[in-house]
Amino acid sequence: MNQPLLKVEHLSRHFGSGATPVRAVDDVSFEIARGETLGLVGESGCGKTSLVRTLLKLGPATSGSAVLDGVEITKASGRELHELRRKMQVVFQDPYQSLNPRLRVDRLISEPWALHPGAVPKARWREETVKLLESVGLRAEHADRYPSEFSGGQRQRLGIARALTLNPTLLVCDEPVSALDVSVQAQVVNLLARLRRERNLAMLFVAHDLAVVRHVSDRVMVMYLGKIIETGPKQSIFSAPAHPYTQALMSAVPTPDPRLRGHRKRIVLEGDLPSPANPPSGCRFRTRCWKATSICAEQEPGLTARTAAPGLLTACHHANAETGR
Amino acid sequence: MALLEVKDLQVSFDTASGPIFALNGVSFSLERGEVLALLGESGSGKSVTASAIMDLVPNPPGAIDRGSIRFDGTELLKLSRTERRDLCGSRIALIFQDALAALNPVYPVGWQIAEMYRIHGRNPAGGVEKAVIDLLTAIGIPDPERRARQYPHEFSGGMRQRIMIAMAVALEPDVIIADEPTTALDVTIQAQVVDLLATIRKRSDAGMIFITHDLGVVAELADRVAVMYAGRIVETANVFELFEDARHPYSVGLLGSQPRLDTDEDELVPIPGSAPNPLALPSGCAFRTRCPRAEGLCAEVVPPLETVGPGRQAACHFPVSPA
Amino acid sequence: MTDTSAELLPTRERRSRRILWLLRALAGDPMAVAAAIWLLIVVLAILTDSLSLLGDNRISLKARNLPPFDFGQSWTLWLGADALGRPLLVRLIQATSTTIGIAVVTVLTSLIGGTLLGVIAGYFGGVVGNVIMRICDIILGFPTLLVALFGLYLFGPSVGNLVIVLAITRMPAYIRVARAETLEVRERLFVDAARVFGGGPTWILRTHILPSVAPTMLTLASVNLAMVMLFESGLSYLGLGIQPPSVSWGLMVAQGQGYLSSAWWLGFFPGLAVMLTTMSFNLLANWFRIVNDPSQHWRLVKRRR
Repeated sequence: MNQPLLKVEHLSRHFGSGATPVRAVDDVSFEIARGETLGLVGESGCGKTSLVRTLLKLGPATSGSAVLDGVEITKASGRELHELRRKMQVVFQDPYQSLNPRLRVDRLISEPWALHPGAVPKARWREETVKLLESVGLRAEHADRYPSEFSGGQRQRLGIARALTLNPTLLVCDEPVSALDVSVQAQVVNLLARLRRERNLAMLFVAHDLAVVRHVSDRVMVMYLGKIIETGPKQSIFSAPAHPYTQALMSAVPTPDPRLRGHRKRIVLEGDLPSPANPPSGCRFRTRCWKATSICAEQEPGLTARTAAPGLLTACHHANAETGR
Repeated sequence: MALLEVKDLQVSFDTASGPIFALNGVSFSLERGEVLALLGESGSGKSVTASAIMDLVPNPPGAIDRGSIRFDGTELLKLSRTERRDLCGSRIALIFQDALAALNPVYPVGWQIAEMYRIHGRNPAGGVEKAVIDLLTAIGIPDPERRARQYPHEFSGGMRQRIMIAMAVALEPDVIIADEPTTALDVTIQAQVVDLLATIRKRSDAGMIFITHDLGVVAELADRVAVMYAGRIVETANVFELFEDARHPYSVGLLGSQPRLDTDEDELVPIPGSAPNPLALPSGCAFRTRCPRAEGLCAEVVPPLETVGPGRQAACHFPVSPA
Repeated sequence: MTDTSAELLPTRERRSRRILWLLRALAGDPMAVAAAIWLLIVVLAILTDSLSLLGDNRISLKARNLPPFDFGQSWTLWLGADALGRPLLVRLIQATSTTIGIAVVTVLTSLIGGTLLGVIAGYFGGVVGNVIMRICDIILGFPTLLVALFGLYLFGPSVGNLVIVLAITRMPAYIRVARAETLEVRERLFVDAARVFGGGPTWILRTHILPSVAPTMLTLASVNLAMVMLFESGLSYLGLGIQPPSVSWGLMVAQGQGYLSSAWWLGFFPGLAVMLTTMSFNLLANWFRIVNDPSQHWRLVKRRR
């Protein structure tokens, strides 16, 4: 099928009313194909959490559309929404908060089945629970334990197992490894990669750790203050980013190689993030951008191909693989 | 004589299921002007080390069972409460992980920095107010006169962290302990904080202990690294040697499991298993259950921290061969 | 990938370890032990009464105003006798079930009603939430004893009315706490997760919110037991609570008031019973709260240093 699994067009999520609403997500458009992993990077305040919550229908979209497998998420309700939920699942960031500490593991895993009676008959719940636990590297006897008896990495695996119970086609991962130790992160990342291959899962992988995103994604989107400022295949984004913000992000990541100390040209951004209730006119990044000129204040740059890097779309008037810094 | 010398420190906590040995015989030293990174994951005991030095271990349920902490020749554990308090804060400073929690929300920021001077009875030349303004300027806060009167919540996370750093260095301490100062921050803000710490390091000859689990930051800042696991130090080396030629299997595993931005390997190599249950540590070497090189000896004898080269040590019966 | 950290003991052994630990925790708080012992005695009294094992409560002029601690007499007279010769100990035991019964039923009513209303107000908010909270404010605006007196005077002092009046005046506390807890739990990630699975409000309230809110509400209830007992005693003392021939500790205190100089034991022992029981409830509530919070366990289970 050539139709994308998820097609988002001009999606916006604003908070508050009146003259200056907080424009957490502002006119965002992208697609995810079946079995593809789209990485979403950005720092706090960029709107990625709001985007995730809007896609998952945890909050209403202000405008725009998001179509999953032919169904319009923003307008779905009742029966249709309930059915839609089977296709789209989530793995949250905080393994200590995303599982109810009072419920046993088998109850936690079977909750989706209890909510969707048609999916798996009750007689088979135990058997299916064990299968899921084993597929994420846990064991059958773990089903009788409580979340507090598990480590962070194991809890995250429980969260992943739970997300797979209804066999979704799209898995939204909201910073799934940020709260984990480094050695455990690698385990969970590998697990997600394997499950993705086995089940042909499409993933929206939200993270602030660029190195992890690089390992996991096929394509990458960069968000800043509610807008997508650059997107493209992982090769292009990581080797030849054209937007100054992306370049700053890449250069800010400390590389674990002490020999490079002092030799790296690190771009340190001045200033702070502007308020999303009152974003700068024109290009939102211009207040911290060293390439900004007068056109940046007047005209908001559109997301188009501006460099030779294949598939790379950049929203910048001065898009250039050279940092010029 | 080393500026700070920790020997055989043991700290334990009472729990319902028995005692937990958060630190199990930890020894290291810090010289003037040196940056030592304490590298470890959760449960390794790195934060408890900072608490123990600063007399912040909650008692009960925690207590320092044995060991010594010598600062500039003085044995800290033998000082009285007041003497210890004078020392900690003025000559040994601590930068907390969570700046918002460590700053008092009901006092303006300038007042809190000035408090550092007041508590320790210091009177900088030109007056306390001027010192505060100078400090704010030095850490890169624009319009310092106005901002000194603002409250912590009016600053962004990165600025608050920098204010905490300012408070820590206000009294020109001899030792600065930074407990995961970049962990909760965005990447671009991390870069600012790391830059600031590097600047401080260049300007003063204070010794710095940097506690983190982030290898990238260690590579940026540290001179020497002490790797911790399950309450023990398992390897010490200078930073170049550690990254190129780590000897302890845990260090090797840690370095191998981090995804890197500059390369594009297909599969990460994680360390199998997870951090050991502190109530049920494996016998002998605590890392043996996850170690590809473990043999029978590892289950019976706790490997001591031994010299494996000039200025470097590893606690392993079968360390990785030199590269 | 083997994870050794979850390789803890099998379930049965964990359960017995847990019980042993609870006993140790109880021993760590001597006041709680004393409270537990006293409450066991109370339960024993209720059982004795309901199983009619007591025997004689007949009026006996021979034992009129008999002072206590005369161990030569039969055991029932060890706490003395009242003006009609009835053994005080027997009366005390009979009064136990009434007093405790009223307290428990009242607390259960306000606990269940208050929790439900509070959780609904907290989860849904909006108009419903506002209405519930304003009614709370109105009830809270009047002092409990005044409302109780007024209500009982109007509708007659029956046991049923007593329970209703006490339950209603106590409910706002539960509603407020339940609402506050719900507001907090509602924002947790596992509630979001449940919504993403397709859980509706009923499901979430039942599976996630109520169980999370329960421990706090139970702690509140145990503290409230003491308060309700005191209120009932006070109302009976004022003549608007339990009416003779039923008996409660509060009523016995009232009846003993006139004999303070001549037969002090008539008012003293019932009053002592009220005091010991309310104190026990409070002490156990305190212990219960510590047990439920793992970070506080060190208070109860200490090691020699």
